[in-house]
Amino acid sequence: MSDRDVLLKNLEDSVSRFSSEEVGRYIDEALGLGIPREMLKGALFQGMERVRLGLMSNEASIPEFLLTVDAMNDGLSRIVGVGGDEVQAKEPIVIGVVEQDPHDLGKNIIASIYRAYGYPVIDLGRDVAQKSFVDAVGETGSGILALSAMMSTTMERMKGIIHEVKTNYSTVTIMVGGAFIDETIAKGYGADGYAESAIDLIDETNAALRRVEDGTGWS
Amino acid sequence: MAGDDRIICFDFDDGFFLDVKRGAIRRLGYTPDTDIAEGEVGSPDELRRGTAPNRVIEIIDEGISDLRRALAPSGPRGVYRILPVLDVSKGRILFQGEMIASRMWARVAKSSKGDRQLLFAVITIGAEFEEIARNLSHVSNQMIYDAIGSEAVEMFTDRLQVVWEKEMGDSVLQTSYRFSPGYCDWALSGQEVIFGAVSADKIGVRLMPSFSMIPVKSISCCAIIARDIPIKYPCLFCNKVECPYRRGV
Repeated sequence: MSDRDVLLKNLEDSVSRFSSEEVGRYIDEALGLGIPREMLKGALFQGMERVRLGLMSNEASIPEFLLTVDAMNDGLSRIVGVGGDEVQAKEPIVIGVVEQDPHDLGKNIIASIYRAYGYPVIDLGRDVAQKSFVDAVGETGSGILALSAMMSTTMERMKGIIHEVKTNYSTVTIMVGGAFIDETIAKGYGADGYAESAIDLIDETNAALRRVEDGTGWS
Repeated sequence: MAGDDRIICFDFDDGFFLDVKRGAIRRLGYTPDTDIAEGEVGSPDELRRGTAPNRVIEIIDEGISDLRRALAPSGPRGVYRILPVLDVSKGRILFQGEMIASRMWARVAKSSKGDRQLLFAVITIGAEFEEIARNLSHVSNQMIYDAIGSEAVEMFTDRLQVVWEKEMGDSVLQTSYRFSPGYCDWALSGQEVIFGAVSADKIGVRLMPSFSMIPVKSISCCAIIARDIPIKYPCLFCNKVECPYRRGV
């Protein structure tokens, strides 16, 4: 194993140990040695994926996965922060909690996971009016809108937002999530995708993007 | 017995924060060591790590310290009021021009003996801790602080229940289990009934039109009071065997 390979392995391990401090140290060291930023990003990703797979097999917990997501995001910020723009941007995502709903932890978790997987996130916060979602999608040219609602009394608002966004921006992919949302409700509201948990968020988002691009709809 | 709002301030000792810590560990899906070897822990500092990773325990400890600071200004955290029941019929518990529309809890009330009363309560940990949690930069910390806040408000409610049960006990009255809108067959809109009965603004809690409470880490609940309540919760009447909130049957 070369010094570079050892360093990348250490970086990967430090993410899965949720140590932002070690992540920062190894990134600085690696950049000092001229290791390309894309390789560092790959090592960070491997460390995070290891814990995500552990979560799927019950060897890790949600808090542990989120700790790796935070370490990953700290690492990505450091890579970008020291110069260069090699961290390639994916489709920007507008995210927010619908009006009258003050519960934003779920939305914050989803936003953080999206960031860790390389998506630029425009976070509108909580208690967001329908018009603000529509305006944000239009102003940012975002290709994905993610809506959150944690109450049975607020989730209905998603339907109006989805209708309005789809009417004005038909190619936008819309993901929904929340305590009372399931796939049937997501379909009924006209959303393109729904993730049951943090584990399958990215896979489901990719599937939804494909559905919208291909015009195939839900299976 | 029935009458005005009773406003409650709580004292927070080390035992309270240790219990919050244990509860938060459980909420996050781990087992506190105290559950594995009950009785081996001699002081709060000796609460060992259980199955949670060290980093999770460190963040919980940071959260508990922040909770201590947030709760340090002693203030009203709970309010309750007791009102007489006027009638119980057709799945409704009627009181002072209002009603609780729940067939299940009406059956509990119906089975009770003697003059019936309803207790309405709202409890909160306040806005300070939520504000601290919301400003955390890492989402893992936010999730862990959320578990701490949820556990703390549940424990406040348990403590308030001890207060009202003592008051009832002194009057030789019994209370049912507590129940809240949005659970069992009582619609979330029942929040308006509770907030109409008790002055939650006296402890800084307000109701949004969506029936969310602000601060979020607040609990609203009711209990039935009577001389004899042989059935204290309605699960015995209910055949929803898969219900996650099913108790004792």
